[in-house]
Amino acid sequence: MNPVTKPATTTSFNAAVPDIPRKRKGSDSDNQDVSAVEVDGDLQKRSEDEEHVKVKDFREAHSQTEKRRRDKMNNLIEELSAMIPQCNPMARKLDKLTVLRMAVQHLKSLKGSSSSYSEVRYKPSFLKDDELRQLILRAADGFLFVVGCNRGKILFVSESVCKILNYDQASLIGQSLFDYLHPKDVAKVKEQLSSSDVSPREKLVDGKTGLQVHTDFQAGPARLNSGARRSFFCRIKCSRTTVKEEKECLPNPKKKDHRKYCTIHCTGYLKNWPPNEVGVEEENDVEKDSSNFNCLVAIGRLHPYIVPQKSGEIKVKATEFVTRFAMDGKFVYVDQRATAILGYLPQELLGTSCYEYCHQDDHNHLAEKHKEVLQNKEKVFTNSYKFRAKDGTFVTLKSQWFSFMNPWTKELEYIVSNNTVVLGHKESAEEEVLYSSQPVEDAVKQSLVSVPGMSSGTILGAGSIGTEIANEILELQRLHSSPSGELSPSHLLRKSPSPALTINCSDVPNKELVQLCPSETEVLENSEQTQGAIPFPSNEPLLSGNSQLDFDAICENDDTAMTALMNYLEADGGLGDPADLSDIQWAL
Amino acid sequence: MTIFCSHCHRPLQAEMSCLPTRAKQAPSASRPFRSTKSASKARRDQINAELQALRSLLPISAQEKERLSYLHTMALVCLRLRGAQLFPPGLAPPAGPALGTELLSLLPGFLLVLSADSKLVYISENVAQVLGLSVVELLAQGDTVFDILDGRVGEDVHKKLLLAREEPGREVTFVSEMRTSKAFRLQHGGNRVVAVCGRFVALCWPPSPSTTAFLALCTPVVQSPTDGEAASQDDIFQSMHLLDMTFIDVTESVTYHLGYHREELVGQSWYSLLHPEDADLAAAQHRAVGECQAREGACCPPPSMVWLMPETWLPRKQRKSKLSPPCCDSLLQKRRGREVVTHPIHCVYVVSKLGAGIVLCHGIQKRDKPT
Repeated sequence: MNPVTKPATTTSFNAAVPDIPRKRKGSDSDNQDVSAVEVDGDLQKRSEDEEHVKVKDFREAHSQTEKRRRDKMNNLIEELSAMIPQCNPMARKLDKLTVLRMAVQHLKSLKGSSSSYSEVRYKPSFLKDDELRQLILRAADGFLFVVGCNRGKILFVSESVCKILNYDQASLIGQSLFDYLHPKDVAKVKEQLSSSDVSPREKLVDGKTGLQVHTDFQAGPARLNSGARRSFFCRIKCSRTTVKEEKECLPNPKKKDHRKYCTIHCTGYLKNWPPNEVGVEEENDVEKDSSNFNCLVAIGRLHPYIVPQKSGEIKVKATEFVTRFAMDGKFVYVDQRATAILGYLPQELLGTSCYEYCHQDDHNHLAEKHKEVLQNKEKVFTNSYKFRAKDGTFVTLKSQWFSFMNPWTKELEYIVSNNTVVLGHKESAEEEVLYSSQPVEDAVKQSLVSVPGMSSGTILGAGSIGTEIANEILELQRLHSSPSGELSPSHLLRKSPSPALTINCSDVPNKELVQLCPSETEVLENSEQTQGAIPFPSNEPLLSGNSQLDFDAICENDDTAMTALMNYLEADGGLGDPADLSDIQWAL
Repeated sequence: MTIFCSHCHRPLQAEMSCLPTRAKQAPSASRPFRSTKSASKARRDQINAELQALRSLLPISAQEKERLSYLHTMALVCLRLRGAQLFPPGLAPPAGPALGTELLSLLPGFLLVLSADSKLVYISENVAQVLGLSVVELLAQGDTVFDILDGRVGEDVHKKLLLAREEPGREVTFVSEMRTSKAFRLQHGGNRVVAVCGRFVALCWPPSPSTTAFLALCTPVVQSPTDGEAASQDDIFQSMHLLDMTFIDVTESVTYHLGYHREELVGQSWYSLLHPEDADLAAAQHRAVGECQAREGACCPPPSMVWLMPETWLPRKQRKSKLSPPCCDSLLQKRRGREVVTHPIHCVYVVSKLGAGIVLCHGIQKRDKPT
């Protein structure tokens, strides 16, 4: 008799095999009885062969399944033996039974060590409570805190607060939470700490139907009193250093901008908890009032709105990045990958014109493409052009541009540019001889103001290329849409040399450039002058295209006019208070 | 006569020893090995007995114990032992309130711990609230992470886990369907899609292979009211727009999620916040809403993910806001009779766990009157 023992041992354990879901590879006949394939004597002969084949197949499949099970079992046994301390010293592989016996011993010993945990509350689980707590805090990247509802006193905070807010655990215990909150959040947190049901100030909307709901939205099966759950966001001061003085500084509302706040998402529940159970020492002067030991037990997690790096992707030096331009070629969005390629931070580029960075030789061709993309709905491909990086060298790029239109107004939101680095063409700054100081366009006023913060060698006045193009296109559009022979942009340019109203383009999504009638311009200018100096934001020549506001031409589209006005007012160096608007006669 | 094993000195059955048995080898101190039916049966019974003992020692309920097959038992035992290895004995527990499982309900999902070779080390019990299956049920198919994932993501998950292992501390995220109970599948229209976000951490010092594990938080991509975390008015933010999607108003909670202050956004175009990847999709939704006849009342395309860029991606120079909320209202009022006043577009955003700025935009719709 062949002592290949295994089949005999495993079949007897089939009894409680659980349902095998469909996805399992191989046969799905695991639960079939052998009897099911008994050939029925009444079947005709010709199907007997089929049946034989079926039976054979079944048996083969069955033995395949059995084999898989055996293999699985053996793997598990092996793994088990690797984990059991007693089995490790054994030089040779142990047999199944012995491994199992040792596993039993081991489990018993594990159970024994944890039974010292509170007998009353003992609930069998795969991990102990404090182990679980550590895992929770690490996984959530959060800290546990307990604050008394009465005065917001921090009764406990876990060590992990150090990693998140940079405070020493001991320095926080006993402090009032309100001392660390953003002033605007104090009232909200007070409300959360109160025992009454929290009523939403802002209307909640039912996610499914989009309709507003006015009831409290309580979620989840009630593990705890549903009224006791709390979930809110708040801003908590982070400590920049762990110096003691920092903590003693009183929060100064005027200086709040200098303090760094972290947005913390707090989820917790209220619990009535006498202090001695909290596990920390209580100070002597705590209220002896035993009626209110309500505390909030919560986990605070950092809720940064900084996107973590795209997880999982192998970091390759980027060769592509995306930018967006306003109609006049000014950057309104710069992908973070650009920093790795060009050296500039996005904020350094925003609001500046791309023409300032492009090599002069490329200006003509880019200007052409610029015009093209504004007039077409199609994608436009540029040839290679050189873009000055922060260190002065040139990076060769190739871009694909297209105009992104607002589906409602059918107007340009921005030009999207997908930029690719063309490798092997990096040129040094030495090859760039003197940049021409001649005005590129006639109407542009040359400004020789040096602009702090801009990398040297930027072509002054180049930005106007973009604005000129934008204006041209606008004029074309206006000529098509409106009969009014209002002042052309260039006319206005020549007319008013005074420091006018430049809009910081990074603020303006630039739906439409609007022009004020001349009389209104003067009104505004006057009021502007009485207000004081206007900040001179960039290296733009004094009157750029953006400074023109014209409402007349766009009567039929007053939505955009209004919004554009709102944009304008939002900008730096904008007008005075909204009240001033009432003085102006709207041509609406 | 009782025979003792020469190795571990425990009493043995006749044909057993704790040394590896090759069927053909004869152990030194016993009768010649013969595989008889009764011998096999005896051995099976012994193994069964040990398995039964193991079952009884598992930290699960009695009913669950009854239904376990041998493979299932083994998987659970391995899980138990791997979990026990995470925190070596003898470490003093950290001070503080005795809280453990109650804290699980405060998380937006469940915990998943994996070993370096993708074996399951721990799954927190609140997994039942997300997938409808208990820990025991999840291990019915096996004890690796791939046994709980459903769908063809094996390749991707492998790569990500490898990456995480090579760079401990680096966070990786993958999204996958997971095995879900039938009831939940009916409720959610399929297996639940879960975003698994974690990294390899050393849980104790000094780090050792058994205490270094992949620790992840698994959150359902689409939240449902039955999920553990209580919703609050802060979890969502809403915005109102003109028909061209310029912001008219936005709730204060936008500050928590995107970093902008309300005043900064009013008057801005929605499109300036959209991530390039999503701009087209969002425009399509906008177009769909625009095409809805006003007569039909609220018109509501299905919710979709939109990626709004947080403030740190779109740094804006510091500026004072000139428009305060009352002014917005008066602007709206001034434009009497225009459709846009009576039908602003209303968006509700539910912040997704997939990353900052990714929001589920519900109900981009026209409303009959400003709210």
